[in-house]
Amino acid sequence: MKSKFRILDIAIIGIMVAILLAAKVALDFLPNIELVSFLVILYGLCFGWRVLCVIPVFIVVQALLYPFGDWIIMYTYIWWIPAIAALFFKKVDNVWIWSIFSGLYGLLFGALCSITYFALGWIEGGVSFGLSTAFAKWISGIPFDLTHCIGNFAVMLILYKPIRKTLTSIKKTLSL
Amino acid sequence: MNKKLIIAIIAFVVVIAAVIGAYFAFGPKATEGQKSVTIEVIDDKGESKKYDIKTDALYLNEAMDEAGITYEAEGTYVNTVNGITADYDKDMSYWAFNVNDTYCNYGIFEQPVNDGDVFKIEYTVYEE
Repeated sequence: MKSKFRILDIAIIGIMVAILLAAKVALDFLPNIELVSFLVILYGLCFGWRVLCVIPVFIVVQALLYPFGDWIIMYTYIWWIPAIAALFFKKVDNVWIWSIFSGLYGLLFGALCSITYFALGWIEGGVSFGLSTAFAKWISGIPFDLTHCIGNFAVMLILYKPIRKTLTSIKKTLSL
Repeated sequence: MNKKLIIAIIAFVVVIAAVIGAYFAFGPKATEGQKSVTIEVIDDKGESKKYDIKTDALYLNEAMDEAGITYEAEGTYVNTVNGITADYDKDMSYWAFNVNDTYCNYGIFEQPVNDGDVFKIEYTVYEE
């Protein structure tokens, strides 16, 4: 039986991970302004299922590069959300819809991360401690979530059309 | 503009408003007025220095400024206090912030200062 997973796919996935990491490291100095959400969504829209291979590799490389912390638990689920949304709504080609989605994702990033704090708090001191820890963490991070929201919205609004066009043309050239 | 996009924009605005509302309703609040505050800094050699101040500071960074405690921060993460840098990447060290023996839930720019608060800023090395 001929495998659908080609060497070309492995190469493309590797390049996608490399770009993702470079984009993350390049903007690390700006709190909550990032290109990862944007790229994950565009990868999902343009390269389909391959984004599902990009996410775990990205997480593992991040875990090797950065000191261990709560963030690793968050990363195990947080980046799947934009990837799966992009796969589900692959046919939606509207810059405003994706800008709003990306903005909302940034806005709710802290709330999604606080799921981890809930779990850790629950283990340490029960459900109510977990809830109060998660709530306090979420609330205290809202100013940063707002920055994240504005950043994600603006990045998608500005870069969606040129990058989608470029990635679509690469996909056609490589017959992916 | 199609109907779905209008709904999406309305939902976006509503969620933003709800999140901002939650922050103002449940976010950190500080009381105004003269407050007695103690800030203890324990450096990398374990040496402690206490600063007792009377302040109107709303947040910890302002109280630290008034006490003459210097610091450098990357975003909310404070890596240097009184000229001593904790480099987590190098030796897993960091500056731990406590208020009344409880780990601070907020960064120094949001951590409220209330009358009688005792803050402890301690150079800590993470041990596995």
